[in-house]
Amino acid sequence: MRMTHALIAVAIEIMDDPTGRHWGYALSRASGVRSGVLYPMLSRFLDEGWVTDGWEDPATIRKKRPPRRYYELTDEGRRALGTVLMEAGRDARFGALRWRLA
Amino acid sequence: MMAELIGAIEVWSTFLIALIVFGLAPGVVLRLIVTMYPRNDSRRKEIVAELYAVPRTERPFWVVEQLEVAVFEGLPRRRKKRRLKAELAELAAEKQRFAAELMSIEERLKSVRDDIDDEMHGAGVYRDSGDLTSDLLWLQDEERRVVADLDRVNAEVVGRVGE
Repeated sequence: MRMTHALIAVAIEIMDDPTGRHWGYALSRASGVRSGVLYPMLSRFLDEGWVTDGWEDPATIRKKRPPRRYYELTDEGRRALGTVLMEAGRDARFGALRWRLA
Repeated sequence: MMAELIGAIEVWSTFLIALIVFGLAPGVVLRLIVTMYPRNDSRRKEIVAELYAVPRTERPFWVVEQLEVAVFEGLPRRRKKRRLKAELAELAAEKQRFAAELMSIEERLKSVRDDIDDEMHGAGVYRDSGDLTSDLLWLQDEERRVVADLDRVNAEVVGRVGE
């Protein structure tokens, strides 16, 4: 996958909680990546086997709303995104993201 | 009095517009936008469900953003699905044609084998035995070719479905 600011920003957010569940809108907000870029990226993560997806259990939803889709990192995803972040740390192009990489 | 009435109307119309823009419109427009995705695409449900996580004041802008997602992700998926459907229909027709061809070859093979049996048991000679053997060999070759074609089509179907 091509190294872009968007990929690194999303990788930072996901790797911040590598065992947790991640939601599209929350990820977009936290990473500052537009949904027009984020959703196709999540689809590629799924295709690569870096994340798995699932749906909220309707029984756990208190408000009247449909269940949301979540994404969870796989072991392969943890390794791949870890590598992405390591490479980004060494790449001068991503200097602006360095404080978030630290 | 009039000024108060006009003022009240303005307040009501503003309230109504706000209600539509921040309350009703985002959900309705978003449901229209997601129809750009193929019918069973999980992104359809996902985007609609995400709307409820977006603060009301941001919803109109977020919904417009989803138009971009749908145009660049949903429409290509829809086109791909339509193309795949057409390809699968073409392969199914090809498969049917090969299956019919195979059935006809098998019938002819059976007939040639019956002729050979008849000839061997002296029940009647209709054709030269050399002709029968060459017919048999040719039909067996044809059978192998059609079976290979059928296997190729089946593999192609499996490959397309897996895409």
